Amino acid sequence: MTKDLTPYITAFDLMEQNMNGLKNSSIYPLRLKAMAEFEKLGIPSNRHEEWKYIKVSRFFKELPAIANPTIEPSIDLPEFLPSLKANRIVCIDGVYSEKNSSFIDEGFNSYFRSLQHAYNANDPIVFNYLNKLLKIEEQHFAALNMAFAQDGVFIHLPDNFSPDFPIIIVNVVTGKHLVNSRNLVVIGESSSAQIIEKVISMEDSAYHNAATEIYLQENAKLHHTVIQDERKDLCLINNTEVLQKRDSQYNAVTVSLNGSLIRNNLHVRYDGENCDCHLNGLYFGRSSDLIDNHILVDHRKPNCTSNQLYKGLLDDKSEGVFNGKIFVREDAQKTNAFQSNQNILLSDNAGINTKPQLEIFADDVKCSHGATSGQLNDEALFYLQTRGISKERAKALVSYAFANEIVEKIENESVQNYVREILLDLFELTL
Amino acid sequence: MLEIKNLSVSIDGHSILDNLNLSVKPGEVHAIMGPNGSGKSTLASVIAGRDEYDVNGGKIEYQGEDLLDLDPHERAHKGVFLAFQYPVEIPGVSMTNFMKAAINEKRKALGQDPVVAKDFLKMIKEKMALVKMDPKLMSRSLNEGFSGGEKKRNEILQMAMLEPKLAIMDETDSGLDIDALRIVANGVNSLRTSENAFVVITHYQRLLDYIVPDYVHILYNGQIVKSGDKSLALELDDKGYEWVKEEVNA
Repeated sequence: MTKDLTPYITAFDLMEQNMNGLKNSSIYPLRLKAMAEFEKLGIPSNRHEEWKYIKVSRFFKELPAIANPTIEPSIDLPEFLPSLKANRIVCIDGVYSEKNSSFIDEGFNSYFRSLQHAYNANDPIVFNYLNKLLKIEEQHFAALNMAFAQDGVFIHLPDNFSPDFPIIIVNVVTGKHLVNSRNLVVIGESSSAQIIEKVISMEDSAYHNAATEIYLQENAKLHHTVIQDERKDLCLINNTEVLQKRDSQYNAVTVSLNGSLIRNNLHVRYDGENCDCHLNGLYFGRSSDLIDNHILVDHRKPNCTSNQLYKGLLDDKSEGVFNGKIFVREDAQKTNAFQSNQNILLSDNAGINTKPQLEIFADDVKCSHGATSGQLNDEALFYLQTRGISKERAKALVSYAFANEIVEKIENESVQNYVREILLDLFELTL
Repeated sequence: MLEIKNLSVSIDGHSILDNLNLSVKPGEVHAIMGPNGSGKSTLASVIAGRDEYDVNGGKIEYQGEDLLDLDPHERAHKGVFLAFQYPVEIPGVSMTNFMKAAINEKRKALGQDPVVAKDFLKMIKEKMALVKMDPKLMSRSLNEGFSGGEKKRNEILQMAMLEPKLAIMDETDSGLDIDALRIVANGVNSLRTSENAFVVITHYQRLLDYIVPDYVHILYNGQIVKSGDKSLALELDDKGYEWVKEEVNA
């Protein structure tokens, strides 16, 4: 069944009419193409192999209205880690809010622009990178995003420049609508940075469709933390594409603790030797949450390593999906690639679909993968009980410890503590 | 303190304990010996409250209360402690957090405020010295990567921290060399008072050279078939279990 996309086609036409000057910008043909692709792709159904276990169509029975970000809302924004010294970039309904953003690193403002600013100036640099990694011909939500995202974040760090402070990107969704947000990040040669992403939703039943493209130049390093913790009924779709040049390192931690539907696509491609990435994820599903992580590491060059560690706790009727692909191309000799997905089912009605997918075309490689799912260890629970800890608390303690392994991978200590507090709260624990 | 009367226990339909009787008073040390499969560990588990066993008959009274009505953690709050034969490794749960949680849960049950951090540290330092444990182990995960000897000493440390009234020690001597055995035994002996009692389950007489029992019981086919003083343990060490089996089966 193909969904009737008329409301989005109408919305797109309306947007086009209001674009006036932008029609001369290189963004215009890109958007037209993206919309055409989206019209072909539509919203994925369960028959699509990549969307088999996650009923995303359930959330798109009625197409949510596309956020109309021309009106700057006057709202009080909830604060995110106010005590953490950081360069803060805030977007409201996908549009950069200068008023709410602040930079503390000297010189950082020379390396940040809003995408809209870059589009208006028809900046050729932005078009060297924009939409080069995401595939709008194949990725439904990437196409939707490219068609509708009007603004976003463009961080372009020059060579040998590492901000002293982390960069926080907060995306605020103000209503029960669909926000298409976009990040374009280029980390220059031998530069390093820390990016922390967070979505804040003001309402239940909101939709956030993010598209992020990250380029790591030679010897660049990025710590990237994505926090999905709004305890609301949300639909979050996150498409992140990373391209690494030689000697670069990408460390990601994705923490998914909020409700309803989360789909994270994280794709890393190596375009040089001696690259390394660590992709870590923690997900905790409750009630009827659906949390789906689709990971791809594409080893295209020799002498690279990659590590995936995803851990899930699934309670009530929640369902998790882990799909971890590792491609090792013919040229990618001396590859070391590891993957592990561990799950604890806290209820008989919770479920996990885990699928490792290794495609190896080189012969001199080390690859391993493993997936586990099970209940909490009875022997461990009994041991704790005999020490005076009730079964419920013993479960909480062991679950927390299980989750904490991923929290420890977060680069920033304040963010670690932020996540720990949420977990302790969810498990009703004090330590 | 502990009165076990006609206790019968089975697992998956197989009878393990059959009309077992045992009486333990404060200040006493009881040793329970017996061949493999005689039901020693089952007895320890049932007293501590493991729920995979079916109690088909009899009762366990502890300080006048029916122990079988209580959850394992409630038994612990009332002073029952089980030192495990195979202490469980729990990754990610730090020794410190675990020990603090155990102590505070007990204090809460007794209507006391949580332990003050300074007092806790002082206490743990003291007790670790008692069992000669490396203080660095406190920042490690519970039992994770501990050597066999460290795990057993950790059991005694926990016992010392929780100050139980009734401690069941399930083959605490298994896998220990003589030095570790002495340390463990010293730990136990220093915790002995006229108020608390120990039930020491063991295969070998060796441990009883260090922890001297008031009574020795032989468990065979799910029943206590012979009781005596410490000389019974020496006799067993000398003659093995065959004569007991023959006597029972005669």
